[in-house]
Amino acid sequence: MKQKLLSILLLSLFSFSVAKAQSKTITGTITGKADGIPLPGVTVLVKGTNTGTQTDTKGNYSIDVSGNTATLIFSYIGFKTVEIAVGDNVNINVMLEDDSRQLSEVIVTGYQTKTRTDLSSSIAVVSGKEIADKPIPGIDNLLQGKAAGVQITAENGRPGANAFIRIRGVGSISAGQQPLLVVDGIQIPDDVSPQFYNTLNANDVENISVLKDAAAVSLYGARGSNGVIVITTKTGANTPSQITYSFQYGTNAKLPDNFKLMSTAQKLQYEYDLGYENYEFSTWLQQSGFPEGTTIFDITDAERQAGWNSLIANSHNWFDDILRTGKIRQHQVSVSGSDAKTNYYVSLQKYDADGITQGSDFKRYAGKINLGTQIRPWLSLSNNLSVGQRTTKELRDTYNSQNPFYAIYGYNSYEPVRNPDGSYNITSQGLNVLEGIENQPETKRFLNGYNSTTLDFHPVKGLNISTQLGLTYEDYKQEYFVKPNSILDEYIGDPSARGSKRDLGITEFAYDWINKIIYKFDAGSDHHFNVLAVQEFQKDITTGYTLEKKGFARGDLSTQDNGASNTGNNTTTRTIWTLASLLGEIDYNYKGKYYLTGIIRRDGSSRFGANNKYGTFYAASLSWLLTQEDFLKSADWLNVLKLRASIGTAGNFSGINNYQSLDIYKFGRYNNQSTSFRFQIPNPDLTWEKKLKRNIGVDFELFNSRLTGSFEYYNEATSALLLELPVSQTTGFSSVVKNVGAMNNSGIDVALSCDIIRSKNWKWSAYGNFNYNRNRVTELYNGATQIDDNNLLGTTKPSYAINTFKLVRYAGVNPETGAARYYTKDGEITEQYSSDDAVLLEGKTPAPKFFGGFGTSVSYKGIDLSADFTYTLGNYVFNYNKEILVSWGDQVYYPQATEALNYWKKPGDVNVLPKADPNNFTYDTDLYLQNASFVRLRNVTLAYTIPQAITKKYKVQSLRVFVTGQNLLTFNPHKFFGDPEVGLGNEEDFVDDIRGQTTLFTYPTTRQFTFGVNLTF
Amino acid sequence: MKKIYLYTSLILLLAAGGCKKELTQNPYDGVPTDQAFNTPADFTNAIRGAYVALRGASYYGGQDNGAMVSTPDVLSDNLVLNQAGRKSQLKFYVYNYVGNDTWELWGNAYNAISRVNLLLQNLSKLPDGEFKDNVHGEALAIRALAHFDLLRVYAKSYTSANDNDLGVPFVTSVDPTLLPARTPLKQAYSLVVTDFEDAIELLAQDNDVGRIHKAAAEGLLSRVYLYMGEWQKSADAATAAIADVPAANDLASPDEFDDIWVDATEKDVLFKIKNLDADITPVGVGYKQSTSQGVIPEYSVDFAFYQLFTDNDVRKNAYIGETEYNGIDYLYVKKYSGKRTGDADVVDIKVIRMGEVYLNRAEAYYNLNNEAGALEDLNTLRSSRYTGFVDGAETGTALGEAIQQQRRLELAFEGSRFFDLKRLNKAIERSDFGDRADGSGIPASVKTLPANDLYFLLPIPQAEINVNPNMKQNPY
Repeated sequence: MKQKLLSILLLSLFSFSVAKAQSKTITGTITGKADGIPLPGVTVLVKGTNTGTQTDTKGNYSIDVSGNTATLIFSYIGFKTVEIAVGDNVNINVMLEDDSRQLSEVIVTGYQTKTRTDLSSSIAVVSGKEIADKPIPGIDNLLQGKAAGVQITAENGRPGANAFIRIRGVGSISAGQQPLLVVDGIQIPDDVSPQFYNTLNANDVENISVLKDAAAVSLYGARGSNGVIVITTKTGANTPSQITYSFQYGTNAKLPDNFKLMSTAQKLQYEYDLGYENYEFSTWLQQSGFPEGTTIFDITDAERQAGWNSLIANSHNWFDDILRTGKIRQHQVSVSGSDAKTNYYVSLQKYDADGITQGSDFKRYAGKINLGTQIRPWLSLSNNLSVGQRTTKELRDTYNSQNPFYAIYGYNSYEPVRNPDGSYNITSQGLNVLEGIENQPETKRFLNGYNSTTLDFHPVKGLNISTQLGLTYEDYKQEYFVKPNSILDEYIGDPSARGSKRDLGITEFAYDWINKIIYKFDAGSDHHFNVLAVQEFQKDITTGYTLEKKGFARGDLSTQDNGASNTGNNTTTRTIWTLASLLGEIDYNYKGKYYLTGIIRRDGSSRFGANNKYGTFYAASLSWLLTQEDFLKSADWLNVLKLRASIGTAGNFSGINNYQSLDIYKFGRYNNQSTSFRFQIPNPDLTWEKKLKRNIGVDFELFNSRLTGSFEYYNEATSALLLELPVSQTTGFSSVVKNVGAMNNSGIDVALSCDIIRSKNWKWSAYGNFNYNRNRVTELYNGATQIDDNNLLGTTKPSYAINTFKLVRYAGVNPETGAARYYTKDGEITEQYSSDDAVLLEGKTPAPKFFGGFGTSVSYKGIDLSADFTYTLGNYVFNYNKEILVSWGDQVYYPQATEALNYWKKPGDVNVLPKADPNNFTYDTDLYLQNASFVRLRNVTLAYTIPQAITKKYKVQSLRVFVTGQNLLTFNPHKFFGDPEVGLGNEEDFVDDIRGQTTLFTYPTTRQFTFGVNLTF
Repeated sequence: MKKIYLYTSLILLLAAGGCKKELTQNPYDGVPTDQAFNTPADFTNAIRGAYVALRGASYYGGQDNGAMVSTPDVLSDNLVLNQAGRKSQLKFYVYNYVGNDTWELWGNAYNAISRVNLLLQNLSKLPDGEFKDNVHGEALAIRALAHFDLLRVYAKSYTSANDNDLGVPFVTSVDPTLLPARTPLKQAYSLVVTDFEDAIELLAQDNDVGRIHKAAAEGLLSRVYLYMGEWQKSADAATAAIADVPAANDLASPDEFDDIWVDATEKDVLFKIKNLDADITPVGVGYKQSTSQGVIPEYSVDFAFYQLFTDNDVRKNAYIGETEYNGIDYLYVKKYSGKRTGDADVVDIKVIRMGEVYLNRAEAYYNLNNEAGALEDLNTLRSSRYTGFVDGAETGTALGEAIQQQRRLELAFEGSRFFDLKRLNKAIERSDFGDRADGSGIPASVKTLPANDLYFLLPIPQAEINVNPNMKQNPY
């Protein structure tokens, strides 16, 4: 406060000396015209000077002016700016009128900001408020359903899991498909962007721009083609000083299954019917004094039932033994404020989320300092610093009983957790996950941060010259300890050196140096120009290490110095990539009606082949603001109508190894001596994928801006696809990366929002967004007609969508024999399964036909209730969970779902599974390919803001309490077996991580309930 | 103000100029291929790299997904699926393999072939002499061995094939765009023979442990000829191996025999692929896993087969262990349980041993009606496997059967049985015994594979069929 007083004093002295006498002080209150509520933080500026102030929390201001000729400018985001001549007044109260979003909203386009009016490109904006205070740590996951055309699919339900982000469909086959992440103007390396989503604090986010069309992404040239997510963090600019404390506490639990496992009695009968005797029963036979070699099939029905009863009596539910309800706790303090020259935003957060089993935790500490100051009237400095550390306890994510989420379905209910002597029972699966979690702890630590320093010269009006240095850092450490004498150690360890420990680390440091000139000028009163020129250089250095030792004395001594001997697998690695760029953009508008933008960017990168080091990208766009035309001025109901179109190119260089183009020999070892081998098939022509993007759209605001929205049609043609071409393995290699093939995505994005009720006490609004995308591979490479994915479930073939499923078709059972039947390639029925009979299943792909989100919020006085839904329609998932839990008898050893009981038993049985037999093979066929459409109630929040009249007494500016529920309802119209929301099959078993292709016992989706408080003073 | 423009332009120029050099980056963990073959040390590294390829994950280093040390035994009559195990390799055990779920030895073997072909292509950079000859010989021998293994797995037996039957592509090129057709089977075998013969001319008498020497190549050639039914040539190659074998690798005595399987001796081993803890290739896991609660076998030793091992047979204890797990006794395969010290289930992988060479020659002599020679070799082998052995005196059919029985015992669980039945055009006939130590328990669900059945050929991986229009799948 003192600082503020001081600066006001200085300002007034300054104005005093310039304007001599007649200075006076103006005071007043600013309120909103619609509701009459005082507006804090409104900027009040004396026109033509640097003198300015802000309204306080009650909407009051006080400012010194030089005399009666002065004019005051009142501006506030979301309201129309008002200019008032001072005249004789000493008290000026202003009611600000709501402005259309269109005209006032400032959009961060990456290298600069524009108002939405000036924009002729396709950019979706998510405000920080929409993602704040949710019980999910990752910003990527929080974007789900918030922006049209942006598909977010959580990898799985693990606390801290990342998400697949696909903007306007899948644009690449083998190269990266994730969008570029830009934080406060710095391009984040693709390797570390997933961690940035998780270590940045979502509550520090001011807004997020999602750049979609060419006019938006071609600014980012070789890194832009998958779209760009631009995160801008909060600053203290234009805010009164305040302290905010937030707290959240809640629970985390597995969503219930939509299928039932067989009861113990059902399972025992099923085993008997299939001719299988389990080990618990064998033990019972021995203990019950039956002669050696007696089996379940040699005894009387009554004896068998006695044995079964004994097993049933000892049965238990493994869900209860393995799963738990986790806790979520979050604390955050932020302090922000500003005076005329300097602003600051400082925040600290601690976020803990327990997973739904032991050994699955997420802990995050995040800190932030954003500072801005004006050094000279023509020179300002800003610095944004963010550091976050997160620690997670990790579980195995694989199809075996080391993974608790397979284990809950993998251990029979009659198998005890512990042996009679108290040791863990290793069960029919050979491992006990509870012992594994205890004795093979795995932790990951990520320290991520960035620092961005910008020095901004603005020597004359309209000209900005700036230099920005962005430093990005990630320090990743993973520890995996196999404790001595644990079960796994006995399987794989060295009997003479028990226990082993692996420490693995990766350090990635990147810098992004941006030199930028922006010049705004007018030629006459009708021609407005904005010119941007950028020179940028990025360099990324990644180093890594692995340390391994074995021979540990105790399970609680896990540091490497306790290890007795080396395993010989200590390594370090180092890689570098660079990207140098030049960029120019010109924006022109005529009378605020017609807007024209041209962009050109040239990139050169170390990643690509000697013959193709450089690439040039361009874009052009235009828009027409019809509501500025005289013929529409009279249409009161129409606030904004804008048509826009863009065309241009961008590239994709992610997902490709740094030295992919080179012909290199690498080294290894044989019998502790050096070896060498050719590493890859080289390709000196290797370069980035090119994407030609076209977009047309219309933006509108109707009925006093109550109904706002946009419709867009896009068409994106990717060519020179970076393709991992399979080659004949007789060459000694399985693939080579080349630029071949082409693909097309076209579709529609729709975003709508509506204020249904806007009264003083009642507010009701709704929003919705929708995307339809059609993907077609248009061309592969010479001669070859299709490429199968490495999971051998789908294929990529011209005139079909990417990853269209390719499976043998199941033809039901032979009603006479109960044998499984299949269709051959030609449609004949056969009982002989052959993978050669797999056919393309047109229209069935892991990508949804439609997706999006919708929601609503209602408030009455201080109470507000909001609900957010997301939906995904028309996508198919190969359901391994079903194949395993509803097997044809080959999984008789492990629990089965009740559906597995419905198998062929006698001639004439139809609509059944094949005759169950332990020697069957449940082949991958379209029987297990399911439509995974769903609509999910993602979040419900009910909040109450305590009236200021009460909180003021305690010097509290605002106090809000809220409860949230996450994943409360799911509509599963096609009865998908298990959870239809599928991201990753699981982390360890699949070579190709194709979004939503398979589900195989990965970490399940969870349901959270939280209670929270936000306190500002 | 002009200064600001000047400085800015300077910064831009400097930055742009400095970048160009930065756009060329070379790896820290590799060298350009043109620097890979210059010095003799480069060639030594490259040949060792080819041995590493032989240890591929579905080849000699395989465990659960097809492995040279276990899959041919799983496919045959030596083993019974253990119900307590993980049911690994079940598809092989019940002969239920398809193109997209087959033995992926294919890519592993061709990887080894491509590594030696690259070396051979650069061979002219070496000065003539012993060093060059030895590396040259090793490369040819590895190429022959890998092609021979491919032929054993994916093609018909030589003795049942006609001139039109297909083998596998015999690859000598390093062209990465290669889309070869299958070389006719008989032609492919003759190319294997040629490579071995050339290798034998070039190889040194002795070599590092884990590398092929002259006697090893001769032993392998005697095996190839045996598969071809070329009895005289097989006997000749075996004779050469017996003449050329270094003393350190000669036939092990009964006392030395156990040490072979914990890698404490090089006796008996003509060629083995080195496998250290750091290579993380626990080949024994394909057979069993050990816990404090007992050993869990993946496959039990077939009880009928077990009974063929007499108590004075040193192989019985070296190969087979008894365990109790979950209260039930099992017989498990012990010979890959680990070295004297070090990680469980990590041992060197034996590719050819002297025991086999004697058996090769015995079989060849028997088929050449040289019963005396056959019996002598058989007795030589048996006297080094049985304590207190008294020479046998079998003749006629009994001698032939004794040779086959010794072959099955000697090479048990070394990836030979399936190929032996296949080359002799015999059926696989499994016993009725179950998976428990006393022969009770659940027996094999599929008991026989008729002689020369189509399932004696493994399907070529579907990925190869898809990418290579010239590749013909085996018929099923």
